[in-house]
Amino acid sequence: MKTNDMTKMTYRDAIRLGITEEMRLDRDVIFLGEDIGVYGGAFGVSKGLLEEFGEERILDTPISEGAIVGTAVGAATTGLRPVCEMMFMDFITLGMDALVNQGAKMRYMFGGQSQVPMVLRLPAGSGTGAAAQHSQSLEAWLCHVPGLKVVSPSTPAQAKGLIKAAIRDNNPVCFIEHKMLYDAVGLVPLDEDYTLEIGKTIVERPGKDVTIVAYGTTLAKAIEAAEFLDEEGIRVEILNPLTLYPMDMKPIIESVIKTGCLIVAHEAVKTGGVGGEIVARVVESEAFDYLTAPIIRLGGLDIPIPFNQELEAVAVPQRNDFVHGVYRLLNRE
Amino acid sequence: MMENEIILPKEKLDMVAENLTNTATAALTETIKIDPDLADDKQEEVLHEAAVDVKNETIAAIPTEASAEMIEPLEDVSAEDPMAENPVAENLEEKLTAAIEALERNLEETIKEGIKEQPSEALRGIIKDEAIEELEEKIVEPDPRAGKVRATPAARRIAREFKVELVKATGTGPNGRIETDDVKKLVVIQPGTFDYKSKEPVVIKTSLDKIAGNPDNLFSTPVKLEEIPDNKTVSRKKLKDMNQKIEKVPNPELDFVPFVDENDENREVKDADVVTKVSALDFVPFVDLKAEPLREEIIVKPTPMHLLYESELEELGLENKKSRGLPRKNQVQDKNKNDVKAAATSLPKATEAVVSEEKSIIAQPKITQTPELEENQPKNAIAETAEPEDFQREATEPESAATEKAEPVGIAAENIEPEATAAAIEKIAESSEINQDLEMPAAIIIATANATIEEPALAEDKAGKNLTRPVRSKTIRKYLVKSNAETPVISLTAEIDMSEIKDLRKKIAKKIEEQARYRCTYTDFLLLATSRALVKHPLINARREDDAVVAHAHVNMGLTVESEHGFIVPVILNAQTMNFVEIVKSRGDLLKAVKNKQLPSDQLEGSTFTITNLGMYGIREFTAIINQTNSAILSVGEVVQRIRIHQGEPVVRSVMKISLNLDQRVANGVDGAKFLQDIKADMENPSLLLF
Repeated sequence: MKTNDMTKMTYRDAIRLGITEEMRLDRDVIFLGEDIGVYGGAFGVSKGLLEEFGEERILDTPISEGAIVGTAVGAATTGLRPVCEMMFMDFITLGMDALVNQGAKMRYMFGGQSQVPMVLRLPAGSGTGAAAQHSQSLEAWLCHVPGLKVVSPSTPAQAKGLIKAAIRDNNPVCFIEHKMLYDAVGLVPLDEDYTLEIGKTIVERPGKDVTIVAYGTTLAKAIEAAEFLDEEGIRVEILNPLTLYPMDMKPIIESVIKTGCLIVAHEAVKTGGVGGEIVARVVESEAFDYLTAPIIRLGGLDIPIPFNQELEAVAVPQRNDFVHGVYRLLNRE
Repeated sequence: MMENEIILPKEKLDMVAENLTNTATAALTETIKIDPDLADDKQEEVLHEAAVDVKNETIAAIPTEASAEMIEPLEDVSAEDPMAENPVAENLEEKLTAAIEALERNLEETIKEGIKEQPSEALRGIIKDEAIEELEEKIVEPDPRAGKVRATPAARRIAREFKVELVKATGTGPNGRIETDDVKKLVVIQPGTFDYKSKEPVVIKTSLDKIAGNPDNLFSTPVKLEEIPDNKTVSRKKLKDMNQKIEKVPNPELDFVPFVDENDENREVKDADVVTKVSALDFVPFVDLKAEPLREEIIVKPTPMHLLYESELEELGLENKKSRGLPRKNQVQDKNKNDVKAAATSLPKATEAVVSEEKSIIAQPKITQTPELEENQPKNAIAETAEPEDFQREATEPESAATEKAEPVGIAAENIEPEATAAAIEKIAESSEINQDLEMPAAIIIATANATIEEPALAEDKAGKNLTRPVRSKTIRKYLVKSNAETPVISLTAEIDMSEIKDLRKKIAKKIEEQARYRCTYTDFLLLATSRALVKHPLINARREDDAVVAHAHVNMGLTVESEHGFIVPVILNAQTMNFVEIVKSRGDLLKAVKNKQLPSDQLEGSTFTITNLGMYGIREFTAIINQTNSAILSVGEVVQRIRIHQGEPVVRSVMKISLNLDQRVANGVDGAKFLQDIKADMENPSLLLF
């Protein structure tokens, strides 16, 4: 149904709406994962789907991530469009072979005769006090595999647009959703054809003094910091890559040319993170000549996420890190 | 004094000499680590001296061996000796103390620094060399920052463009880093550099000026460029070009005037390659030409392989043959028109041959039949799409049904070849059963063969695209074969204003839900209205028996529902006796039973009238094929908002289209029209329905 209506809803509901719409539109879309049926998903994303679509399309799987991903890859090659949910992104390690060695390579290995239109939903991130094995952000691993696409929405509208685009995409797409965002509320277009293009960086907030590139929860913290800095007359431009791989660098490079200062932030550990890749590409580009200060990377500390919530907060970038980063870039400190 | 020192026994002297040499060597090996060059020289020197000393001592000692009295004459003889002897003795003492001191120092060092590995004599040379190299590196290592300027990339760029020597700039940033502002202080563009006159230096203003707010910044207050006098030789056009150049600066906010030197050969700075398009991003190298467009239109796709129910697989003789898709796909390329013709006509014969002559002739049907099957495959898909206008054909339904029947035979024959004879006989037994069913479709094939031959080209395209094989349920096959072949159909369409029902539904939804435990839908109203209309119009609710038309005494309302079997027509029994709540309840129960696979056998079949609804898929209007034994089918479209004249005013109303497909031999068009009129009347005054 075509409509221009928007409704306020949570990130969780937006993902559910996107999946529901696609399942109504396309009978080939199936949904599988642990406890997604009767229980409604570990985070309540799939509540009510079983009643609407039945056991045939909403599959409660055994506790085996290897089996889930393997099944999805197989189903996708036969023409279905499986959406599968890892209960936590940390468990992707168990499905890595099916994903990396089979799913991501299949189209290439069969000379384009086969395709794997699957979506992997990965709840990532810390903040829930779930300690080291349930709080990681492992997107950098996935970005390292050509053949996979990695998207990470930060708002409900983005979540809906990207989950729909991901389901319609003919390649395996890793859909990284942050656990702390599930209750975030925002306006979501109700149009069934509303999708966001995969591989498009967007400007969340225009500015001219410092460029901040952030995704996931760090985006919200960056925006908070930007609002704080606004009072001091510092206009921060915030960009959200949305698609971590293949990343659209053009807006970032243009923004750095404009501002000369760059902060890249993510919750994943700093070493070997996606931020390093962004910085490297900026420095490789024309934007190098416009840098007025060393680039700052804000990332998680190189430690396992602590159980203690105070320590957990210290382990990942917070609002004040952004503020101090901006001060440092502008020689205010 | 002198005697004591001079008169030394030879042994003692030797010992001293030996000690001296040893200690010197030991000391030297230590010192070598600190200063090898000096140490080497020293060592040689000391050693030499020691050796000389010893010699001297020996020489000196020889005369002293005799007696003390002999000293004097000796002294006379060798007048130089005492002179020589004294320094020798002093030297010796000095050497000894020096050596002891050196030892002490070494000891202290060793205590301070920890015990160093004392190189053994054999390895000494090698270790010494390495040690020297290390030391040299440490000493020679230059400061990488020496002679370099610490500046940001942007400052360097400005310096480069405006030909400023960075060394002259004073860095104000952290650790003396030269910032853009520091460079800009040095930038002065002389009047005449550009094509217009300017007495003032060009002001370079950046957003950074505003931020930093540096009071010392010479450029914090912008100075306007002098206006260009009209009588100047510079043409307007050139000025325009220049302005364009300024506009080309990547960031318009910068207000940065780039230095344009027309004579500079390296002036053309190429833009860095920026990845602009997603397609240019390094990603999956294969272009998927065969991929279908995502969803340009709503298409009810052919039932995919995985939905094929197991019992049906058994029936088709396909149990455990899941990979049949691929070999068949390859055969698509082999087919041609002639094959189609031959296969279409020889199909029944060929099958019979298989049955009667067993395995010897197995190869024959395989060759002739399989291509033909492939040809027809896409047409099945088309029949199911419910949008015939896209492909404009009518003769396909019976034909596709026929191929459905024929398929098992072909597949059976295909599979036999590599298998054991016993297996082959089994397959043939199966195919013989199916052969009985084939009699009728075969006749249709001959009738429609001409139509088939016309369209293989189109069929070929579609066959290449469709990866999933269309397999369809028994119900559909019945529909297609019998309905279309025998029935003369008339289609009637009416539009119903649903606004009233919409309002009513809103009001009563909660109450109904409490009573019936299901939410009421538009379908429920329609079911009720239709049931009542059917009581009034028995002809629509009738079946045909040869030449007689038998009206049913009850309304068994069939609803087309999609299930894993394909789609089925479960029945609401005795709908004519029900009130609205009962209808809602029984419909809900029915759909639930279908979903849970608990449908009672009496509700599985036996409808007297059928309603089919594709409104939820956004279908506005469509006609369906009459369910066999029924005389009509009602197709329901989407409820949409449209502008309609209501009480003399154009207003937005919710409207829905319903279409009736009617068997003309049972009832005529007027009967159908009246029937629709009654439904429409009830639907537009829905309050009446509730009583």
